[in-house]
Amino acid sequence: MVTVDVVVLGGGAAGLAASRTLLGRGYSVLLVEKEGHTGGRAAGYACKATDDCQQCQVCLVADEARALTGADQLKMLVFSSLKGVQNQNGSFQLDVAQGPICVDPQRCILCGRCVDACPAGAIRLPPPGFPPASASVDPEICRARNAQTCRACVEACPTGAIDLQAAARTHRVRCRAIIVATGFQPFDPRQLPRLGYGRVPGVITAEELERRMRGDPGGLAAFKRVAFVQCVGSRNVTLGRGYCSQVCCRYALRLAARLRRDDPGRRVAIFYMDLQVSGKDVRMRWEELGRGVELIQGAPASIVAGEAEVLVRYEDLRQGRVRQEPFDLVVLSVGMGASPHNVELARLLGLNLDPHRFFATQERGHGSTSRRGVWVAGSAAGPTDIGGAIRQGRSVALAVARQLEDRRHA
Amino acid sequence: MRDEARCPAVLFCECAGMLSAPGGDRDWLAAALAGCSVRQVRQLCGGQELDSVATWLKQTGSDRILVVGCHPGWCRDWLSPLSRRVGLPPERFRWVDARGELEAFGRVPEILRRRLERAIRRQLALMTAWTPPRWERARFEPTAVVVGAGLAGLQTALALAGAGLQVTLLERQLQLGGWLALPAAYPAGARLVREVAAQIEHNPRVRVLLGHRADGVTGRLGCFRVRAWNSTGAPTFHEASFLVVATGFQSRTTVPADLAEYPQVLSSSQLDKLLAEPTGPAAMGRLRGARVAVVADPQGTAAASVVRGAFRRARRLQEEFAAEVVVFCRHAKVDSAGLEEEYRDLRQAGVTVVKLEAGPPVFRAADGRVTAQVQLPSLGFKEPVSFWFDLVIFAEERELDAATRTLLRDVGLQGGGEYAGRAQLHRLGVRAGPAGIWLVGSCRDDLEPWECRLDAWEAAGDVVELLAAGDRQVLVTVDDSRCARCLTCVRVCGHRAVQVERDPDQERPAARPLAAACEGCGACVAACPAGALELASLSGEGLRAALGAGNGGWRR
Ligand SMILES: Cc1cc2nc3c(=O)[nH]c(=O)nc-3n(C[C@H](O)[C@H](O)[C@H](O)COP(=O)(O)OP(=O)(O)OC[C@H]3O[C@@H](n4cnc5c(N)ncnc54)[C@H](O)[C@@H]3O)c2cc1C
Repeated sequence: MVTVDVVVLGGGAAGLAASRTLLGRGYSVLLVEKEGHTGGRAAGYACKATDDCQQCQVCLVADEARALTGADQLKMLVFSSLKGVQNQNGSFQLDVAQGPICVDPQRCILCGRCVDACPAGAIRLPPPGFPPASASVDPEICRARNAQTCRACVEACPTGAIDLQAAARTHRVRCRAIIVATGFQPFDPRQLPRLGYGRVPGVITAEELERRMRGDPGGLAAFKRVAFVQCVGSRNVTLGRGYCSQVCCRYALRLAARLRRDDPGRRVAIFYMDLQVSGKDVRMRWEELGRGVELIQGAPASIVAGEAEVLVRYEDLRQGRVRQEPFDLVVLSVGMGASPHNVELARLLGLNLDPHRFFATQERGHGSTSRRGVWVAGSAAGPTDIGGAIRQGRSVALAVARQLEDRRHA
Repeated sequence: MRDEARCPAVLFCECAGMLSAPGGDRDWLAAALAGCSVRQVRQLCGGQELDSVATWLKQTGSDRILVVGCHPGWCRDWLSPLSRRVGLPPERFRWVDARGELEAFGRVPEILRRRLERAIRRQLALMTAWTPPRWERARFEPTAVVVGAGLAGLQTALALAGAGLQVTLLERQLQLGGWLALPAAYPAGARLVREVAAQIEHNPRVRVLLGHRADGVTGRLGCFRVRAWNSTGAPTFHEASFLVVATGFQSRTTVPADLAEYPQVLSSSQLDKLLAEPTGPAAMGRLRGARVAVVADPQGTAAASVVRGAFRRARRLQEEFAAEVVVFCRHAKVDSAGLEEEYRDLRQAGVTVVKLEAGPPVFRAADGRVTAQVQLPSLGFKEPVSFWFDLVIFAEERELDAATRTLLRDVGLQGGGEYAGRAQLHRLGVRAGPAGIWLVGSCRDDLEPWECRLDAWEAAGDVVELLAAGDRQVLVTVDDSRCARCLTCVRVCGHRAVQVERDPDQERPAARPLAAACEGCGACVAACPAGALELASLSGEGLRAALGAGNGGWRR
């Protein structure tokens, strides 16, 4: 039995910020993360600086994560998820199921030899700066493929950190408050076949572009004509997603600026409905964006494969006819949706979901729920950017700290 | 000799040796590391050179070691074996993740350089700091001045009071609530602001001063002094450890000069006045069944709240007065939860939204009507399209007022334009550049009411964190021979950075600057009657000299 003050579910921007704030106030925290490392979605995104910082905020997540290293009141469970909850007069008793941890984080030195050695591609290193600092083996990929006969990684490891026989475990945890920061799920554009995703080579999602730009920006050099398509899975009532995701215009404009900076001769076009940039953002970016990037109003009708290129068909309203333009790469700016696991998690925790299946909070931006002691932060409560997730994480953590203090005095 | 032994040793792992590549210019590095013994290690991450490194460290005699290397698990994990071999406790080792920075920012030498320089300087400063083992916590009363009692200001004042601060709330007007106190603008917001205002009135820790227009500030973190003009035109002064600026915005009319005289042309606040008395003959006569144009954000550069406000007004005109409404805007800005629905309902209610493509419509007034010429190529019109209206409303845009601008200029913040504070990358959106100042609410960005509240909670949380003392840089030193042990410094310090130390050999307790919490504001230096305190800048030699002389520094 582990006893902590607060359990934080999800180690993305919001969860990290909440943990950091609570640790800073002297509370003990257990961070439960579904994947093998913290950082959430944004851990894989690219810095979009051109010659100047573009304030995309991606590096803020790493800053939050780094601030956690060395905190001794922090416990972390990766490959874990919540399986059961019992409420016992004011405190919670949780059952957390953890998948097999095949790499001993104490011994792993992140040399990456196991990654090279694994024939199944089941081993991954965390992105720099995101704890735990340990390689991780995805048991599903590894065991299913090799039926436990392969020991390539075990042999390659210089420190003997890998144990493929490790078993799954269940931890029983007692805590006084729970913060749900389980994040979002990007829209899967296969639901819109006319956009060609999955069928037409050269059509990718913005998330894939982020990853490629982070991992290997040079690999994008071949794409001389790039189009962004906005509002993919946002503002679409027929898909049940009649809301604006609030981040796509901003990240697309910044990605476009970065692409143009890396290769000024490149053509970059953005197909949009309305550009959702306002506030300081507009003041900072509008003018330079107007210069380099083509902004085309209207969503493309369809995207099809050409000979060596991708053809975007759209109605050129100005000339009143359908036009077709070739691009090398078409990026679908996918919106933010609720995670499919929210339904189950809401059932376990006794929470309500809003019509779009995000967690319902009692007050916008505040994070308290209908259940006392359970709080929601970040994009689990609705679309928000990284800065917003961090801010919500912090303010929820402070509210939790206040609640815990009140009880301590009582 | 002793001083030399004190200078930190810096280990550069080869993985971070790539540092020499970008930009080529390493002067900053040399400057940042001035006075340190530096050694490049071939592969600290691999742990191969551990022995020779340990020997070298012993030779330098240094007792503080900075490792510039790669991320956790590699270089950093060798710190504890190394500390064992050198015989120094692990706290004496610090570490900069140069490789992580390099991977993220290597492409942009300027940013990489800035981040690394900051990290290295910070770690070196922290190493020179001494964390006190057994000091007592001094009692002191932190205070805050909040300028502006709109939703953001009210909520911040309430949150700070909740955290135990004494708060002075300065409001220019004679009532609380700012814009949201005008019910026509946004009824839900008005309700919210009434609730918060009611809590403020009963809070003993908040002193509300109405009719006080603040336009100047001097001092620094720990000792701000704000000037405000009261309703009789006399200046008043308010002192506090922290300053929160929550002055919101003032609106700026966008009615073109040549149309300003026409009674058919209104700006949005004039419309709000009409709407505030909807049953009066004036409003009924002019609005019922009228053809109305609402022009909002024609260039696409205005705040989203301008567009949003135009939508709300359009909807009201349509529903309550059966007016026929056309909204002209560049973009339908709906980027906040719930607004998509509002936009949809608006169109379903019958309001026409025309998205402008080539600048604002050209209006001409004649015979009690206004005609508008609009370019609409995307709808297939080659020539400009004409509309006529009984009434044209121009949505007001926003800007900072003059008092806020001078206030911000006084503390070195940019105060022009629409928003306060330069675009700077901060972990927290609300923390202004100079320490001890927070910008909250719509003076800092285009925010919804609920976001203003989030700002408030965040600023208050930040203050609390600062008070709880994080690890920061050493800046203040005490000359023990001059110190009168009056403990004035302990009382004035706004962030618990000067504390009390009892020494059995001394009759009275002494003040000790707590390096880790000091923000370098200088409040204690200014207040010390004996002139025993000094502010050491963080630039290399000066700091080291000060540390050598005083007691704020490293002790063995
Ligand atoms: C393509 C794309 C580009 C973007 N670019 C930017 C940008 O440039 N700037 C910006 O500010 N924002 C950007 N965003 C938005 C940004 O990704 C989010 O704001 C941010 O990731 C939200 O953080 P979070 O912590 O709320 O959620 P997440 O990042 O999703 O983190 C949630 C974490 O919880 C874990 N988790 C989920 N379920 C469970 C469970 N049941 N138990 C335990 N753990 C669980 C997940 O594994 C994950 O680690 C972008 C979004 C997209 C889709």
